[in-house]
Amino acid sequence: MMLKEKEQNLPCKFTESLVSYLYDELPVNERIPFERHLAGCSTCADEITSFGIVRNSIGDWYERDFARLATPMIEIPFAEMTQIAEPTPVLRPWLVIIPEFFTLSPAWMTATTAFAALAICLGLGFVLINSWQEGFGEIVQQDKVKPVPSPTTENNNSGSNVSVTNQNNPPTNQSPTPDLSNENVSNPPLANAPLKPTVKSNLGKSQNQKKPEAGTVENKTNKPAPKSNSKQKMPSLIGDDDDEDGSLRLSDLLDEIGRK
Amino acid sequence: MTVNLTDEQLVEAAIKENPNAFGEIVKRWERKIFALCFGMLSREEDARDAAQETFISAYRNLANFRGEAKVSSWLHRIAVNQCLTKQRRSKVRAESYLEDESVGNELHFAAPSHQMPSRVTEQNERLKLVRQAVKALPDDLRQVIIMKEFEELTFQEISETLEIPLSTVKSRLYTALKQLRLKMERTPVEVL
Repeated sequence: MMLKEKEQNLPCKFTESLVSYLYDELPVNERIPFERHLAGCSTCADEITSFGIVRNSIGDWYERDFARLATPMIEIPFAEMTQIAEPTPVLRPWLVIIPEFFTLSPAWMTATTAFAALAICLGLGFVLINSWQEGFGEIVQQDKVKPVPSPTTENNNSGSNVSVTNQNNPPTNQSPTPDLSNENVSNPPLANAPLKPTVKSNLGKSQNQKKPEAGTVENKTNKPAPKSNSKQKMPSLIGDDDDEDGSLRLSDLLDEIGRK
Repeated sequence: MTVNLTDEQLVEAAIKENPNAFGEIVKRWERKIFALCFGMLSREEDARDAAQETFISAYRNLANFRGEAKVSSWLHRIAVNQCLTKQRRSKVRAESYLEDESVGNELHFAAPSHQMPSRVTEQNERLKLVRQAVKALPDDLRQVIIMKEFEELTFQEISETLEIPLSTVKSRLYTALKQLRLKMERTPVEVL
């Protein structure tokens, strides 16, 4: 029973011919063989009959719903639409244009274009790397340079800054940041001068392994305010040191109290 | 003067010198385009709007017509797109219309006096069923069946209009007829 139903549902290989026959578009040379087939194929015969009923129903619908309708008056507002729209340019994808360019253009042009593209890419890469490095250096320095709480502490810590910064941030000596370069422009000899001692002090301090209180106090006491040139660099370094060591601030205060 | 020109010549004339030449194209194709729109949308008002918009759109884009296809195919394609857009916009409205329209048609098409009332009711039921079955067809199948049944286009013309192979037209038509038959069989008309 099931098998019979399946067989009935299977489309006959004459499906295309069936549709063409139904609409009277089957070529004459195919018509006779199909009619012969139709005589022996119940599936096709049934379909022709049932499709005919469907077509009649659609025909009735057309006759009763549509045929009575008057054709609408189509009005094109010629006066309003004086100009016919310009043809829109056909947008072709880049994937088509680029290969086409390389196949059509002469070899020298292809080579030049390729070289130019390579140069541009390299240039861009170089600029990006540079800017990234500079930006990275800036960020590192910004992290270290923190606003000094009060002018008094700034003055006091000015001496110790040099040593601390160089300790913590030796790479800054190798690649100068924009800030430093600005300072160099304003005071070229002075700006270079403190770098050497700091490197030395750096080495010295690394051996001693952080004596924060003693070192800083020494610096403060020994250097009341002689190095006004290096002052500008100090705050960042001092600030960092201050943050790390709370006793330093206390000693500063005590110093101030003592002076007063 | 313009009557003897082909559609393609009329388009050329409309672009170059005489915009009114497009009026002749409208005259030639308005009924068929209206039929297509009616079959696709099953509603007179929507069909009128879609037909109007089809010709306006065609006129606006006249310069884009490259002559690769026939003018009739081009117009049909625009009409199909207009119908699909309209249908998408007013899907809910169109669905609710089916019920209203069936009632309206029953009233409008009053039974001729010589017909038996039971037969008229049966016919109305069957028409309602056909409308619903056609409406429920997928867009690609509905396009083909309407072009064939309402406009009586040949397989070749449908193939050119929809830009699909001839065999696809036939297979779509076969599938559409089969689906319509199934839908109509599932809900048999109650004969009083």
